[in-house]
Amino acid sequence: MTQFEELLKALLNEGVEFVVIGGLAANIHGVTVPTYDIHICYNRSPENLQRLARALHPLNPTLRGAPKDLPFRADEATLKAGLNFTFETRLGDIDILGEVGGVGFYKEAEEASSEVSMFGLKVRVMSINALIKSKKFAGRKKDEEMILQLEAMKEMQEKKK
Amino acid sequence: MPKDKQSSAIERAREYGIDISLLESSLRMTVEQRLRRLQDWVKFAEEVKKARNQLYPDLSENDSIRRVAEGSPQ
Repeated sequence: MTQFEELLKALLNEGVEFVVIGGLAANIHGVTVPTYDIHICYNRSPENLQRLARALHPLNPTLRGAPKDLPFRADEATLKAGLNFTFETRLGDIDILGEVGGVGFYKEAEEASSEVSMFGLKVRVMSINALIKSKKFAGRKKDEEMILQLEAMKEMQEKKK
Repeated sequence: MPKDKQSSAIERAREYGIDISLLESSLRMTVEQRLRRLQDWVKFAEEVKKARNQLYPDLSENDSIRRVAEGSPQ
């Protein structure tokens, strides 16, 4: 079972630069479509890859969907060689993306995010507009309801202003 | 102008079957409350999965609850 707070803490404790995206970000904005994992867009600078590797190491990450006996180490070199990874960890599932379709890399994701305080943590969360863009870009049937909820949520917030 | 363009996002969501009152109540929550609600949901889904696995042990390795929740075909 994914422990959202603990997983975020594990990343923040190592100073990993990331933006929460996907279903978790949508839920933080108020969407009511459940999600079972964390998706983040991470900075691919060498320093941040080191921090990310340090954060992931104690979580015993394995590649989701890969054979359990497949040797795998989420170290800096592995992270540098790839871009997007889907991990199972002892704190639950986490997808780490170097690029978000329809939005861009970390720089663009960070620009399209704001800092949110929760559980004593400061977390960057992707904006509603960027989430809508990324979901529309993905073009998946399963995202239909989430897009409609995000658009309605946006309108409700604008009306409140 | 097509109807879609005229209607508001809230109207489109309502027509799709989304309960707008749930979104309104969600908007009244703090970010922490929303995250706790999500965590509770995941915990609940895990319990449902365990119950399902007792009924259908052959499906225990297929996370069908997750796929149903995500709207993907089983």
